[in-house]
Amino acid sequence: MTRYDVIIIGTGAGGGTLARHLAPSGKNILLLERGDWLPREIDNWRADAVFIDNRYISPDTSYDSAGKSFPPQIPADALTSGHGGWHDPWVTQ
Amino acid sequence: MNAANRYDVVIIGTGAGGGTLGRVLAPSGKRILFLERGTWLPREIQNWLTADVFVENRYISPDTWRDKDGETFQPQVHYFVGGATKMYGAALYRLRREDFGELRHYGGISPAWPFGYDDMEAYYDRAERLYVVHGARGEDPTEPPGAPYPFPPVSHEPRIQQLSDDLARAGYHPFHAPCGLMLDESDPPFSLCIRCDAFDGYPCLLHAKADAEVIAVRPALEYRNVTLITGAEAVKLNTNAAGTAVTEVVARMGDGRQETFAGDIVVVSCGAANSARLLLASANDRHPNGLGNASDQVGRNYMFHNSQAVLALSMEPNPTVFQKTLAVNDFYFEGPDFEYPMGNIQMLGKSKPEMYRGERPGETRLAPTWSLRDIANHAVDFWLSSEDLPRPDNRVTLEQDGTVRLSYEPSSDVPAARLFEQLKSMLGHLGMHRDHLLPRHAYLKTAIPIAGVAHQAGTCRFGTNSATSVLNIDCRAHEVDNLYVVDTSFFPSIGAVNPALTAAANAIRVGDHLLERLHASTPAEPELVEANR
Repeated sequence: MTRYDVIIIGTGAGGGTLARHLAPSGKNILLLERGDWLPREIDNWRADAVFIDNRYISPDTSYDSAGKSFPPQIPADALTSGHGGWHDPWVTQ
Repeated sequence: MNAANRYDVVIIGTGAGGGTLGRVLAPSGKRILFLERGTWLPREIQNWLTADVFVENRYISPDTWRDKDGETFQPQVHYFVGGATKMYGAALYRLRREDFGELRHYGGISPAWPFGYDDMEAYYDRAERLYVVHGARGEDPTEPPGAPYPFPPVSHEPRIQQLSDDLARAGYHPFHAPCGLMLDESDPPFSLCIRCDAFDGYPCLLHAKADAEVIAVRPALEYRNVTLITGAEAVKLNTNAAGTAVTEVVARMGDGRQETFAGDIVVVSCGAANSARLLLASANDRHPNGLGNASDQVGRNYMFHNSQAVLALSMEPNPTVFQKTLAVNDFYFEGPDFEYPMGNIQMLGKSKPEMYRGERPGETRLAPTWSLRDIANHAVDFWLSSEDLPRPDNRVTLEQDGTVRLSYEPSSDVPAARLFEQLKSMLGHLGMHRDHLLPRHAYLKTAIPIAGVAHQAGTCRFGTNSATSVLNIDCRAHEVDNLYVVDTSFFPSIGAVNPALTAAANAIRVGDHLLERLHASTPAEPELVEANR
């Protein structure tokens, strides 16, 4: 088994930034990321690919408080209708 | 003149010649000025959009030239930082050893250069490192010797690998085409280049193509002693009273006013047609036929490749994304039943439906029952280049109003036609529909032969005899002590491979000469490869 000084699970604003801060220390750091590198491609710039076809939304399933499944994205109607699966406290409160 | 406008070296033009020269001189600490008539090429999504690039001609700069009959046309020029290389396919070939000697062609003699390949070899090595050339030395039997390519060859996608295998089985020598791009196939997340389908003929949005802007001009500008002024078109070079040195570069600025600049050394790198134009427009009492033109050779011997884009239809679909990976030089020096040079066959970037002529299938004349998308899905795109020979009557002259007049007739169409027939005869062995090899004008929306001014060369040829050449061996004007021409103008002959690497290698060669002349030196160049992962 490989041992590290620090294991960081996730490479986003938190984990990624933390790793950037620790990297020059020389400590052995492992970044674990469930996803892949985001492909660099012309679809990055295409509104229909990004917002309609949801090209960069990763396959995953979450469950709301009623046990209904929904993909972890904000449905287009969630913010206006107040229901639709996504319970964002900043919106619904 | 404003004292701030005095430089050690003024370089007019920022393409493969001028840009590369500036990159070589930059670390010396000498004060260097780039004057560029164009702007930075905008980085925008249209860089990648076929209709904008190939149909709307978004990046063809407004300019008007006249042909031999006085008819106006718009040349396909690209006035941007980086010059013509912004749009090129980065096919970075060395001329063959034999190209430096005299070669007998069907249409006449391809003249010898004043020195041989051995004198250029080391500069080619350096140019390949600078321009991040990927390739496989030894695959192409016509290729001259050199250091190993600095980067591994760009891999073939399956349909092109099949083509390579079929060609080899038929006894030919397909090879991995040399290409300059910041691609690391062993580590894709860290590869700047993503092997996209918008490379050949498109500007690279990612700055992952090894063009003169990315490879030469931007790194040169890292040095505080290097200045770039865009939107500054040099219109005249003034000399001292004796006519022995250029004292002023007069430029028309973006706002229409004129400004003058001075350099101990003045380098003209405007591309073959426009370099000749600038010298001709700079005629004065001491140089009545144009600056440095006692030989009457300025503007003459305009060459460009007798090139054809052709499309074959694969039996199996061709889903290749990055197609420009294979080339064949088996017919470079002769062909079966043809004892003269025919030329080079290479791949083009994959063609797309938007490029094809005709809104409905039948209008394309390609395959009447197929849709444009069917055609695109089966198209295999080749580029055939045959050498054009220097002819004194193929020349750039100036109209009364200063407009470029380009009088041109190809030296011979026969080798190009033979090369076309040769490829056509091979299609059946290559998994393609027999007898379907379609020249560009039959399927592309835009095709005006003379307007395609890529690969232009020869208008200020160099040589040892000042009566028959414009430049000496150092690419300095025979008659003007501080005037150099560093682009493809100096070519006495053009060969049949893309001239950009030779333009860059020569710029490095002249750069070394200028460093010596200026008593300057630069650090060794280990950074060249390292900086371009």
